[in-house]
Amino acid sequence: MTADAETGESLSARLGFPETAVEVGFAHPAVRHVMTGVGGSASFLVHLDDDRITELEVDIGLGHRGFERECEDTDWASALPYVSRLGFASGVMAETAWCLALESLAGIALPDRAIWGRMLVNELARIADHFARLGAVMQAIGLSEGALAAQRGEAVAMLTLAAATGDAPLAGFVVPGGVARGLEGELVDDWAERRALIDAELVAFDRIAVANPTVVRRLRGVAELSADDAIAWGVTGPALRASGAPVDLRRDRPYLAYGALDFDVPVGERGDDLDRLLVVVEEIRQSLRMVDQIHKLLVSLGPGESRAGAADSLVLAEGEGVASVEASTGELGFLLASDGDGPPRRVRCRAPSFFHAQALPAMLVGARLDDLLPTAALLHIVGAECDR
Amino acid sequence: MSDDASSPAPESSRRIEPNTIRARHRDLDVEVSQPARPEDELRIVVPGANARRLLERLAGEDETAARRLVDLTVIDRGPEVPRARRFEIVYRLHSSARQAALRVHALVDAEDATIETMTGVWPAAGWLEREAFDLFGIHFKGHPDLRRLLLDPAFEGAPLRKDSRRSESA
Repeated sequence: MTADAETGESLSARLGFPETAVEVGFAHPAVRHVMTGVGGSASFLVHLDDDRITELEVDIGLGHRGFERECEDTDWASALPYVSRLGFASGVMAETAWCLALESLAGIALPDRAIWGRMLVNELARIADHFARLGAVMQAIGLSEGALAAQRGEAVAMLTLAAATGDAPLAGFVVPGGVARGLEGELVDDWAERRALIDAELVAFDRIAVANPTVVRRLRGVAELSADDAIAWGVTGPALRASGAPVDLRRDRPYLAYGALDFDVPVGERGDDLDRLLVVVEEIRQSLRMVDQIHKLLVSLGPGESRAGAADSLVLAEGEGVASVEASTGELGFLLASDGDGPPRRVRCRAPSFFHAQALPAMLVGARLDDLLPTAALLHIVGAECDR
Repeated sequence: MSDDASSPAPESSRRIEPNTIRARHRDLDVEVSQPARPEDELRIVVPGANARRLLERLAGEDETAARRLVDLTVIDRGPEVPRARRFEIVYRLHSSARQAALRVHALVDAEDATIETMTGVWPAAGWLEREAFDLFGIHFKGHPDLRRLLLDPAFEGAPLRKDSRRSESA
């Protein structure tokens, strides 16, 4: 710290400088890089003593578009396109949580192809999203070679996701009752090829970034968060696991058929930026393992029904349907309150980014101004779901 | 970094029974419903005036140990229901120790639309309560910084209330 140990006087005060406050964001290109480029981003009011952060105010809401009210003013079936746009690659994860909550209200059972098809796109989206985060953090610390490797990985994963959904990531692939189409076409034959491409980028990223002593020194000890504090602030996902809490909905409360998959839950020790980076890298590896298993099973299932016909005319029970998924950002969930007939009584989205944005000051006071953007990138803050 | 392969201890996976909650918190007038499926959240309804005491117990007691506030939001049952039952403040809690999920619905009178803050137990309630204040006009007594969060400070009204009108241009 720059404050005088005996007097507690700040360096700025000793040198006779006024303390500085700078606004970072919302439209600064660096902030756009660390926040997924859909639906707005946060701005940060940073109070500084020299380059140490003494106070941090996170201002969200610029991208608020009344998502929940918009869904409540329409009918259940028409709300899905709004849901898809809560994330970019991770839109399919939001669709999955929405559909699971809706299906619990409607009492719809899913065909096998739908269950495994949903897991397939969820894991592909996680790989794309995780690479995007790695790219953002490399950009934020100025290692453009690492950013390029991560962006190439993201691009291959996005193309694979598009091959699975049959269209762009926002295709509305996950629909009530199942998925819009079964596994068909090219992905059946060329998954091994695509996996090799993703592997190659992961190996490149390992070499350029993970095994790079400069990166380790840059991120070690930055913005530490204890497991207790992470839980108190509602932090979930890779950031919580990096703090040492082995919490993963896919293992703890398995939805879809995650209970049938073989995978590890990586955890960190110190909860600093380096641990968050390492957890994200390892989770890409675990997701690839999962896609291998899912792909094998889907191929063995062959063509057939991938959507329950009962979902054509939704008959909803009165009450609340709740579902959460382990999205790439963390626990993404919906609480849907239904009156039985009529429009939704309440649509509530539990957005992990919202909690992560709130936790930033607890992690960053005492850190350097330079640590703000890499930390925001590694916490997986997505403007669209944070602001809704 | 290490891979954690340990599963929750068998002792701790003991489910929280609705009857246990009912008996323990009888003095707070709780209503507990039997979940339809075992994996569903346990639904507890409580008068708003007793909500803080119930939530503090659920967070602190060994039986539940709900250390995580998963979410906090509001359901507006609409201006047509009796005003004492119009607003439900919904707290979703999770206990890692018990692998159990609970949902508390606190009934708040529409007349004053006020409930006590939970920021003392869960820091995460800070923004969640600000959001509920912002969009539903619910007041959280004792909140350290209750002001708008998502909307412009100059905005008037509570847009997620069922009787709030949308602008014509929307």
